Amino acid sequence: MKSLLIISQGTPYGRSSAAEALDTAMAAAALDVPVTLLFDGDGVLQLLPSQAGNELGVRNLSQLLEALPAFEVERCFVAAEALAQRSLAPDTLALPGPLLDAEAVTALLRSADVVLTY
Amino acid sequence: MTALPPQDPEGFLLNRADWTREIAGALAAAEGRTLTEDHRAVISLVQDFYDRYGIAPNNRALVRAVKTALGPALGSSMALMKLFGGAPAKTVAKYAGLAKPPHCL
Repeated sequence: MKSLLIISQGTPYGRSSAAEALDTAMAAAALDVPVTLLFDGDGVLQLLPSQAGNELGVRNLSQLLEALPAFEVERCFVAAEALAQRSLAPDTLALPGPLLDAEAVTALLRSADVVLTY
Repeated sequence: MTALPPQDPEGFLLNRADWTREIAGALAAAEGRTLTEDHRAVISLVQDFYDRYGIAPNNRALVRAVKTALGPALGSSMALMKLFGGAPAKTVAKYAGLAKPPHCL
């Protein structure tokens, strides 16, 4: 089966793309597709703690991120460069997985059969 | 016969606050099922899952969660399909008073 890389690079609540990326990852895992999730660009803002998306009448991303292991989405990475560009310290975030430097991100992109960007 | 609160066309409750144990029994009875303690345990588990993650489990996640919390006898696709029919995640969500799961086809 082809491996799938999902890049989530949108702001948490500006559009529904952040939640859609997670939905897609969960659906792929349910179908046994080898799926990897990468948070890059503004997507790292999804990892800020204490979100209250419910008050906007949309799904709470913090909760959805916590649900990833329950849905067997286990390969998650965060682009270190995107954090640095936004002056975010990793220890202040709810990280779903390890940080990758730019070189490792490139390698991840090369290794995936299919890349979906949200 | 328990009077049922407002439902969507597929039988999901429009408002979770309307849910009670009796309503769950009535929703199941409408589909020809009688809820046992095993059914009740799975329904309660899915309600806890939803409260924690803000999303109901799909079939895969349901099997995994049931296996972890209630043991391997109930935590298999076969056992859950025996209890809830061909689409366990969807049916449990319905009896639990939750909205239809967004990833449910």
